[in-house]
Amino acid sequence: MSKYTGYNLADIRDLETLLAALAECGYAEGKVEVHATPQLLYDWQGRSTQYLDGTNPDRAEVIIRRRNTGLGASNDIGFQKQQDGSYRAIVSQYDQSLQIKRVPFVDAVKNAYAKLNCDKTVQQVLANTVKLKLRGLIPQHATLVKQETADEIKFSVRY
Amino acid sequence: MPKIEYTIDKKTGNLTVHTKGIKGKSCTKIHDAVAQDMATLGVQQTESRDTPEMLERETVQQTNRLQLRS
Repeated sequence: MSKYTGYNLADIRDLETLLAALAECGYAEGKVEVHATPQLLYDWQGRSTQYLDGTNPDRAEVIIRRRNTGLGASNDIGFQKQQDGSYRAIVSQYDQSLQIKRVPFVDAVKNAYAKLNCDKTVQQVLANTVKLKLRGLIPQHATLVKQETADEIKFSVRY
Repeated sequence: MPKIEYTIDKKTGNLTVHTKGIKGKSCTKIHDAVAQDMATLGVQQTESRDTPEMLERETVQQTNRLQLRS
């Protein structure tokens, strides 16, 4: 029997991990606003932005105001929670060229998010193996081997 | 030999879980347990498929007895 499942660790869904990823990118507490209800994003003239659909003001739950970007952004940057629970980045057309350590802003945040999730997943795999044993889904003598290369981390549970 | 393989691609952030040679419904139960654990991290499953090996029928050994009467 053989089965295959896939997950995307870079898909931004967890607020705490998103905030940690922003902190990794240099946006620690004080530079990031977190709101229970989405708030307006503003451009360099203080007008609300309308980048998502061109008619309605953009709103987001997680906001880096343009003065706090440290990158000379023209407008506020936001992460808006979607109905499926994921967060969508709102970066204006003018700010698409913003980079963190030579990586486009959104990619840099996603990379940091994926790395943090990767570290958590490694811990989760270790804990999961113990749980599988306790639930009797794999035998007690099952062994876990970790192999890491520059590109990937592989765990093999064998019995 | 039964095996569960977790592979994390550092560049794409993709995690794949592949079970091989695990009999019966344990295979699905293992994937369900992993999915539940990943959900606690806010990570959702993006793909799930049974590999051709999953669809193979288990081999049934048949023994024929022949009674030889003299």
